[in-house]
Amino acid sequence: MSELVLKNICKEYENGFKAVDNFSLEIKDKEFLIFVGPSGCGKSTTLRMIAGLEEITTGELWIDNQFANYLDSQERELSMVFQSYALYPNMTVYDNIAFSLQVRKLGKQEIDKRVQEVARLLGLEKLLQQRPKDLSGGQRQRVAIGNAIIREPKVLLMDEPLSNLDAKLRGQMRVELAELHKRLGNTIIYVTHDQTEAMTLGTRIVVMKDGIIQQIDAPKNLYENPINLFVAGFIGFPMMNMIKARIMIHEEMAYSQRGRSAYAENEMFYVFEKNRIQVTGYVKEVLLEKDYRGQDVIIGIRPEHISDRPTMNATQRITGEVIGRELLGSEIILYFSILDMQLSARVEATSTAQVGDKMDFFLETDHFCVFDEKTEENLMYH
Amino acid sequence: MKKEKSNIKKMRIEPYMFLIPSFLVFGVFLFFPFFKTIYLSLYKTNKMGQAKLFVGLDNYTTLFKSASFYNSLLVTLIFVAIVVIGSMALGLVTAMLCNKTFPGIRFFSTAFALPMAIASSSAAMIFKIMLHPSVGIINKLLGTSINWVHDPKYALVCVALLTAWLNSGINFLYFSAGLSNIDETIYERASVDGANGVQQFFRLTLPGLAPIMFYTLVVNIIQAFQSFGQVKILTEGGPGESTNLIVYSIYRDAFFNYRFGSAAAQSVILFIIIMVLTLVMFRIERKGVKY
Repeated sequence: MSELVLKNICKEYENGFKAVDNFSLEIKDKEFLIFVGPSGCGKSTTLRMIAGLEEITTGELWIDNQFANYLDSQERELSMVFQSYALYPNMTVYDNIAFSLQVRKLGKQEIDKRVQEVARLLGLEKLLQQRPKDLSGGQRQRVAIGNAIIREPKVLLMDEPLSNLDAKLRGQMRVELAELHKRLGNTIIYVTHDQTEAMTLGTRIVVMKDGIIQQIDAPKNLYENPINLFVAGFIGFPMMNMIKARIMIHEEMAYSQRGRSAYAENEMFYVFEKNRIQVTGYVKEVLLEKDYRGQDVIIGIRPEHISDRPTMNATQRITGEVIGRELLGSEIILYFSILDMQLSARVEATSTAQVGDKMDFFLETDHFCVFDEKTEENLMYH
Repeated sequence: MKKEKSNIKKMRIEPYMFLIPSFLVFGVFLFFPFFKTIYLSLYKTNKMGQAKLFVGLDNYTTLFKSASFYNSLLVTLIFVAIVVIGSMALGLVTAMLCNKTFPGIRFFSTAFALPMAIASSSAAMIFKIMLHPSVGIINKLLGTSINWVHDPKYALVCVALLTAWLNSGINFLYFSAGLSNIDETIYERASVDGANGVQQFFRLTLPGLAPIMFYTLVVNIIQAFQSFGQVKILTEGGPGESTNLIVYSIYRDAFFNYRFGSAAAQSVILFIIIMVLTLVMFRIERKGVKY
């Protein structure tokens, strides 16, 4: 059992800079919780405050119902994997893994048993007598994890543990970490700036920006139902398409187009320059209810909701010029420009579109996010 | 063809030409005195220090029969031990104090490194006043009336501690450099791992300093063996022969007793002791420092 509660935690430096502002969170047992955000958003600082390496300016930290603000890191019974691994250069892999047990003065046999166990789990059996400088990046990483899990800690903290590995190894370690979490079943708090890691590993994700929590949610919800423009843009690759548009309904449209209307009464549209996209269903209801008629908004569309051919869901057409094409194997990312905006669409690999082509794209309007232009909040958030 | 050949010849001579100035300096101030010392150690000399009578190893055998020589070897050994341990401990402690930034760190690090810049004889003069039996501040503070430098019990310790302090400045510098080479995050990891300060010091700091520790040790030992100025000023080898370090004994033999041959023989022995010690330490280092 291990539960962490963070209540209104703030970190303010002497020069007045607020690294973390009013951070409140409850972390349940066996969770794989991710702190994600751009660099400098306070995620590592928060982790270090939990570890006891950084003082908490205001707010409360509770570990298993014990007030932990003033506990030394030695007393918190957590373990941590550092970004640089922080292996002890003068010790062998064996001692590196065993260190936390050795300083607790456990029996030699007990230590040996557990080191062998962990080494087997992580595939380090043959490296136990080596020194850190003789290991590759991936092996060092494993040693750092080995040291962190041997103590069977309440909570395992990880500070960007994969960021020093190359892309292939990172993918591999990601899978192993997920497996490890399943097998050990302990609580993990994991800091990363990589949204792929966040999405694939986390059971819950905390998105942070400028020291403030933006949204806490499961990966799927975060992707489909972002709370604001920042979260929408940060999660997902390629990035969500953002289009600045104005909400107009039938009468205003007719007026501005100075002619007879060809549209039925009360139809609603997103309008940007000469393009108009009809708003229907739930989105329309919300926009009507919140009275966004005539106001500027930002529409967010995921690349997979833009298609190169009309389908049941993708009905609204826009025309753009293809400016880039990335073959990802099973699919193609087409980058196209419309007015001064650059958008991207995820289409099937059979697409023959070439750079320079002018072509039609079809939008699935059901999946739109609509953001208020000023507050940047998602009007569709529920 | 001919021209090329001369060019090659020129090329071969040129590098050595560059070496001549430094070799000249070495030759005059190092090699010549060194060989002259060995030469002198085999002779009896006149008052001017000129070799007069070849006696072979007589100077050495006389030394090895003299109790005074053994005394000065023993005194030197004790002195070196105190100085090396004292100055390295002092350097290490001060370096660790200044390893983390705090207000006023510049003042303290300057203060800790300052002994480096103080001449041994001027420091000895100051200590002489401080250690003065009736007006010295040490006796005033301790409430004692000990005649520090003229009591055989204390004289050697006083000179050794003064030397330790003098040598601690450079050690402070070495250890500061060594400490800044140790990755900060391993301490963070250690404290999360549950290691307390003492465990961190013995398992991380000391091993982390091992490479520089060895170098410092060698330099300190050599430096301690060669201490002279403070002995000359503070005790002049006395009381009795209790601070008659080997270097001071050499000085005394040569310039008071005019026994240049014996002094030269002692110099050669000192040279051999230091050389053997250094070689042994290098051998140990190759086995001991593993990363």
